[in-house]
Amino acid sequence: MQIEEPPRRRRLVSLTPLIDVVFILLIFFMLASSFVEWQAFSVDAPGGKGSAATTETEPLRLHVEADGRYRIGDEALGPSGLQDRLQAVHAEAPERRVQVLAAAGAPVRSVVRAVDAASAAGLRDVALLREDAG
Amino acid sequence: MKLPEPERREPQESTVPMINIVFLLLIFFMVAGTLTPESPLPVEPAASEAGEAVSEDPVRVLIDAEGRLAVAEEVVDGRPALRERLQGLLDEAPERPVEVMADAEADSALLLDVMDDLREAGAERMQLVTRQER
Repeated sequence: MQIEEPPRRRRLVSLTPLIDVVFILLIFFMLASSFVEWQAFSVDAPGGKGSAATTETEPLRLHVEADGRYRIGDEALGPSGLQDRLQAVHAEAPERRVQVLAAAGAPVRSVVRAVDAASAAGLRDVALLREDAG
Repeated sequence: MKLPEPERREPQESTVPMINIVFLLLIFFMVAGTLTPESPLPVEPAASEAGEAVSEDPVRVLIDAEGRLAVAEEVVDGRPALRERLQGLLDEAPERPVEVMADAEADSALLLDVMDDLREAGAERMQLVTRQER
């Protein structure tokens, strides 16, 4: 009598091609995806001139100098002083408008920092303007 | 004479744990990262702490550190070309939000010029894009 051979176990499907494909996908997603989080400020650019708007309350005019320093009136400010000053302004008049006046040559970095500081201090109404030559 | 026994080969390491890890990485990159189309200009926006969410499907104007301009994924040659292109885009879809993404080192005077162009082209609101600071 011939005894039947036990059925051989089927070979597992090779995993190597799967790993290849998964690696390729992994590398694709690693290279193609970005993790930078964008955010934005809504800004007004009314005509680009500093003297356009006339309102009841005088807006706070924050000058950004070409070398990246800040000035309110005749008072020169550093980045940390700017934050404190704007917070003081907010405590006094929360609805006060702010005009950021950028001098020609000032990098966008400084302007963004000024808008950011105003926004962090709670001053919402920020306009971006060109500093007049005079 | 006694010969040393030939070293026994270690059993091959299983590839299954590796596949598990690779799959996890793949899923992480797929879920956590966002796929972004390649930018026509190298632009590194300034970082800011505050800010609001960016709008979806905007008309995006890029300004790089050298002052080159791009709109809607295409490099344009100077401001007249930019204005023309913007006019076309905004006539087509006047309700589309407009975003300006300026390099941190770009001149803010150019940023203001571009904002003037946007206003002339009929953009009601615009957003200045920044990178989220951590």
